[in-house]
Amino acid sequence: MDVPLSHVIGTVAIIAIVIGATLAYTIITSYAEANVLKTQLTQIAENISLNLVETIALTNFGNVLTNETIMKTLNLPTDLANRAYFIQLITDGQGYYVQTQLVVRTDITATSPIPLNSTQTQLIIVTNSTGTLQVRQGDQGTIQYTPLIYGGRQNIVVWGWKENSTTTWAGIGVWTPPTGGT
Amino acid sequence: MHIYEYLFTAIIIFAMLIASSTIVITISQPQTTITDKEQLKITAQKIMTQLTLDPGDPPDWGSYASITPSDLTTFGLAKYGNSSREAYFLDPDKVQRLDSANPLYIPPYIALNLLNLATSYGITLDIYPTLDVEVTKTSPTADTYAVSVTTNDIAFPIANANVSARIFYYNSTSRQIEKTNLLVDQTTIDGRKLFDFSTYFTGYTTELKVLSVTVDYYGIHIARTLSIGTGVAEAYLIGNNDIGNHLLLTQSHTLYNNQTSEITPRKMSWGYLIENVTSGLTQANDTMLDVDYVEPSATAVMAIMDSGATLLLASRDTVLSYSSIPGLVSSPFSYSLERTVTIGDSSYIIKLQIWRMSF
Repeated sequence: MDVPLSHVIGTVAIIAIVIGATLAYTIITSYAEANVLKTQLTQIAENISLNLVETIALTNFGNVLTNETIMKTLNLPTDLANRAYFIQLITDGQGYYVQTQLVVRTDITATSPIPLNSTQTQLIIVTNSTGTLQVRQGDQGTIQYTPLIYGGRQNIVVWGWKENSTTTWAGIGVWTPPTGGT
Repeated sequence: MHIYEYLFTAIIIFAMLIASSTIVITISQPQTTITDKEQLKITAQKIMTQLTLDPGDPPDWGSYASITPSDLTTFGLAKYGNSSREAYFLDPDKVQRLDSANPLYIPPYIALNLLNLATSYGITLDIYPTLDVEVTKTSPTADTYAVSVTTNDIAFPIANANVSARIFYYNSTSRQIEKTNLLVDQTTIDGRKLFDFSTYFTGYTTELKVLSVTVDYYGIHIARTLSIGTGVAEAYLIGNNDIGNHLLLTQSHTLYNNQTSEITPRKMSWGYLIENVTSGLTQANDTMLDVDYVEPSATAVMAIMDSGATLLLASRDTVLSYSSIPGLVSSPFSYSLERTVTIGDSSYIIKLQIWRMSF
C-alpha cells in the first residue's frame, strides 16, 4: 500500500513535536523542582544558622567555670522529596556559612551566612575536624562533632562550648544519648 | 489525514505543553514565595540575636576611641562584662557609634560586611524609647515646659507616669554649673504635665541650660536630657568605665574650668532623684577631652567651654535610624522585627527591618 509522502512527513513531524514537548516539559518541571528543593535547602540552612547563632549567644552567657557543652537538637526533615541531603559548615577564609546540598545533585545547593565575617575572632566554628564532646548535665550523653552530616540522621545538634573567658567553640554534630536513654 | 489535521494535532500538543508547564510553575510558586518570606524572618531573627546578645569583637569596642571600624572583626551591640552579663542590655557607647554625627560613626556597609550580609541584604535599624517623652516650651519668655508622655506607635497619652525634672544651667557669676530645685509630679489624663521653673530665672537669663527629665511608668524608665538654650553644643561621651572616658566634640572648643558636671538619676521610693556630680576634665586635643571619672549611672555629661560662652552637652539619649540606604523609612518587601532592650538604665525598642537586595 502506497503511503503519500505528505503523511510520512506529517507523522514524523508529530513524533518530533511529541518528543520535543516531552523534553521541554521535563526540563521545565525539573527547573521548578530544583527551585523548590533549593528553597527548602535554604530554609534548612537558615534554620541551622539561626540555631547556631542562638546557641553561641547562650554559650557566651554561661560561666566558663561550669565547663559545660550547650546543645540544641534540631528537628530537620530526613529527606527532601526522597532525596538525601547533607549539611556542612564551611568557611571561605573570611566568614562562616552553613551549606546544605543534595547528595545526588550537587548543583542544587544553598548557603546561609553566619553573621560573623571573620575567622579572627574569639569564636571558633569547627569546619575541618571531628571529635567527641561530653555533655555533663541535662540530657547527658556525647556529641560527635563533625563539619559534615547527612540530613537523614537522628539527633543532629548545634553545640557551643566555652573553653575559657576568651575562646568559644561551636559547630554541628550528632548527639548520642547515654546508655539506656532515648 | 489532511495537512490541517497534523497542524491541529501539533497545536494541541503545544497547548498541552504550555498549560501543564504553567500549572507546574504556578503550583510551586506560592510555596517558594512563602518560604522566601520565612527565610527573611529567620535572617531577621539571626541578625537581631547577633546585634542584641553579642558584644562584637573586640568585646568592648565602643569604649575605645582608638578602635576604628576597620579594627572590628564582629559586629554586636550587647554590653560586655568580664564577670557577668545581662541579656538585651546594649552598650550606650556602641549604640552611639551608629549616629552619623558621631566622629566615631560606623558606616552601615561596614556593619553589613561584619554581619556577613555584604550586598545580599539591606537593613534599617531604628532605636527609640519605649515611651515617647516630648518637652515643649509653653511660653516664649518664661521657663515653663510641658512634658508629654505617649506611646510611640499611636501617640496614646500615658496618665500617672511619674516625671522628675530639673534644669542645670551655667551661672556666670560663680562660674559653675548650678541647678534648680527638683520638680516631681505625675502626668494627667492627657499624658502631660507642666513644669514651671520661671521663679529660678527671675531677673536672670542664660542660654547655657539643659533640662533633665526622667519618666518612670510602672518600671519603664526613660531619661532624657535636652538642650533648652541656644548656647548648648553637642558632644559624645565614650568609655563610661575605668579604661578611659572621653568627650568627643563635633567642632573645636576650648576648655574653660577643667571640670564636668554629670547628671545621675537615682531611683527613690517617690520617683527619680536627679542629681549631679563633678569630675576633672583635661583637653586632649581640639576635638577630644579626657574626663577623669564618669559615674556609671550618668545619663549626660556637661562642661563649660570657650570662656563661658558654650555649654557642652554629651547626652546618652538615643533616638536614631541606621540604614544601609540613607533616608529610607520603609521598604515594601522588608520583614520587620522588634525587641525591647535596655540602654544605660532606660528602656528602648530596637526595630530591625531587613530586605533582600538581590533575588
